[in-house]
Amino acid sequence: MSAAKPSGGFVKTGGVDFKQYDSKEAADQFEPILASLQRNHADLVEGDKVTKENLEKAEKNCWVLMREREDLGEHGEHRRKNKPTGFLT
Amino acid sequence: MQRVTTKDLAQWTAQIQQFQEDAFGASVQSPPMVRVPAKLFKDYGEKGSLALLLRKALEYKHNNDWRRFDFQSPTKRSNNIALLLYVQEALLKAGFIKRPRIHLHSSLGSAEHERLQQVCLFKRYSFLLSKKKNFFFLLY
Repeated sequence: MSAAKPSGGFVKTGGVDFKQYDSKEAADQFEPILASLQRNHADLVEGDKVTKENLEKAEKNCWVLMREREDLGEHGEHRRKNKPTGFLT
Repeated sequence: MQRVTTKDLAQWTAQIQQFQEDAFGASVQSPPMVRVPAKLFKDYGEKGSLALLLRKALEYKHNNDWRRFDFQSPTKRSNNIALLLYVQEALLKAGFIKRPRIHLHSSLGSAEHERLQQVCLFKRYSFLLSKKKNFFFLLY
């Protein structure tokens, strides 16, 4: 006798079978979706291109990182000053 | 941002399903929202529910300057719940998810009426209370 199917409501599925999404065939199913995204919402799926704006943004981020390193350096100096005697040989 | 591939879309689909299973599944007490129905993850058409779901997820990621999706980390849980609420709103607006309408019959006492109203509206459960006659469920 076969087991009765649940008639409705919330059914505990016990998780997702990741294997069914981890194959070329599974990925191929998403081609229409990706094509649609590329056509209509390229900003969401296309990688960053090297543009003047992107370069300026990268330079700005680099400057911010340098300032952060400087701050860390000062903090490090502070820590070194307060280190217990004989901590470093 | 790296260019998105079909493999990425497949992985995100599985991860979103697993996340909602962990965060709002049957074993979770008082989940913050109801799961997105599993059938909506199987519609691979370019105007289908999965396309809208993934587009809205990517849109949310883009708007919030996320570098990548992270459905594993417990620290990102509340962010991911907000993402799924955003996605669910879009699916509701597009008509892929329909909230069943419930009518509470006048034979119910006011206390019971109040209690059931709270249950129906509790944490965005997918029920709307209808005063009209075109309801799906009638509670006596």
